[in-house]
Amino acid sequence: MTVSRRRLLQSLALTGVGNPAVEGAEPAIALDVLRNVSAAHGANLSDDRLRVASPVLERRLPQLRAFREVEIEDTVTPTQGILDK
Amino acid sequence: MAASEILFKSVAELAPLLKARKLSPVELVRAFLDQIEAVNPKVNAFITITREQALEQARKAEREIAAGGYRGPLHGLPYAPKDLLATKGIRTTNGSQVTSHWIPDHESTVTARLNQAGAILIGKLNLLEFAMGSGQKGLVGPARNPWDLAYSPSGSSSGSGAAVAAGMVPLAIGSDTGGSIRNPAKSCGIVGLKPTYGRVSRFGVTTLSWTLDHVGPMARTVADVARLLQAVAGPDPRDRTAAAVPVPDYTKALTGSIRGLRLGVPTEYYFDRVHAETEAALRRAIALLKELGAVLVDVTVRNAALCGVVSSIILSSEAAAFHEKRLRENGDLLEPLVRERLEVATFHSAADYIRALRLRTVLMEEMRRVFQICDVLMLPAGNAAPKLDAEIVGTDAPSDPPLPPRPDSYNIANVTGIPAIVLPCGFTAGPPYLPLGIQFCARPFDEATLFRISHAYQSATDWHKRRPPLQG
Repeated sequence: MTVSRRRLLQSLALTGVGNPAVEGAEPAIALDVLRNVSAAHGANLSDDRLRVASPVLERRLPQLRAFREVEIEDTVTPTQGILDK
Repeated sequence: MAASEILFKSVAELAPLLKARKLSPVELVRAFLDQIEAVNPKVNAFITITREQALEQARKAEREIAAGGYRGPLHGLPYAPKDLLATKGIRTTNGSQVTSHWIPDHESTVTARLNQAGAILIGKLNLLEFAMGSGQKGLVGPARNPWDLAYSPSGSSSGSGAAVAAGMVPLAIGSDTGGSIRNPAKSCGIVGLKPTYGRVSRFGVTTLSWTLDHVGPMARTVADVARLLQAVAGPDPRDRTAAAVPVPDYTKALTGSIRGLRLGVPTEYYFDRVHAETEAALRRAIALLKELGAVLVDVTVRNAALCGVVSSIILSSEAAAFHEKRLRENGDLLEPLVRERLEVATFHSAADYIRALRLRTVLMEEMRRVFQICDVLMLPAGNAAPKLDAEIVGTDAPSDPPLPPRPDSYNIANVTGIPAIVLPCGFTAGPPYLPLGIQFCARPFDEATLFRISHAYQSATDWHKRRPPLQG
């Protein structure tokens, strides 16, 4: 049960670990996009609150993208009870 | 006996005195209440002090012991829980304006078990708001580090760490979702245990993350932490995650012998961002453990770098789900950082959360492999405490890039559910003279082995005997 180590390292590079130049490279997320996503998720944050969330989300995007790109074998299932008891 | 002598004695020293009626529970509780009165204005470790109830309970304990009704090693000893454990009839704030007036109509299982063991609730301890706020704000302002008031005790069980270190209470309870028992234990120079997931009931403990939260003991010695765990561990019909796994007699692990114990030492990743001074202290501790008979084993934890983001997504998603109504109805009352974190988490997708749980499975498999080649895994416990005004980010909060990701030496134990203990292993060269800590992890439900190695180390060192300069 593994994830690809090469891919993991690539992903970490994407997050900007050890490479500050990568930080801030993401394009801004339009407020309209956030407003729509927030409505779709049922949170319905106000524009004022979306403006607070927006820069945090933009900063996290590379890390999230890397996280989503980690390859996982099809046989790996989500943890249910977290320990075998 | 002088009060200053009482305050820093261990349970192992105090319990026989109480049992033999050479020390009165009333005298003992008064000494700690006096210390709280003198020191808490500086350290800010307590949110609520239950003076009258504590004295009443102390008088009751005195009567019981005099009548031959000694209940065991915690009888007559004061304790204090982090103020997110529900205490029936006693305000439980979660460190938040939102719940600042909440008086529960039920008792958490942990405090109920301690009360049943005869321990005496002396107050409720400061924390980061809902265990996820900043180190600077909170309901009553931040707790401060007794070793230097300009420094943080770390969080989120900040009051628990500070109160024990400052001699305000000998036994405390904390909660740990990503290091919130172990980080304050390290920063305050005491011992903190995050038990195995399922070892201690979480009934009556305010949730941060259902699958990452743990409740555990904090004290000045390993032996005292073992006694405290003994009293609170075990299955609980009111918490379906509390495991029906037998609780061994932990005192049997306090042998001082670690001959042949395989101690895993990571060869990569975990030392990457550890300060040279901290690493030197850790290497000295490892060398001492080898002298004491441990067999050192090189260990690589594969995919360790994934743990931070896996923990962050699980924690923030579950916290956002738990606080959904609070966020919607009382968002203005939340500390800005808490509100921001919860709101940002509403943008995680279900697929992100499931992906994190799948990677959690990968990490749990990896820990199973690691514990086939060693009995105990040593991990750093972070660097010395940060300055109070520098601690923007709570321990349990996800780190925001561009802050550099930390070595995930704490949350690997939360993500995989394994037990982990932190104890002091040195001090900074100073000034300031701040405690440094070492962490040990073990197989699920093998807290006994953690006590075995930690007690052996503590028996050969005296870091835990040092007292902070702050006195009443």
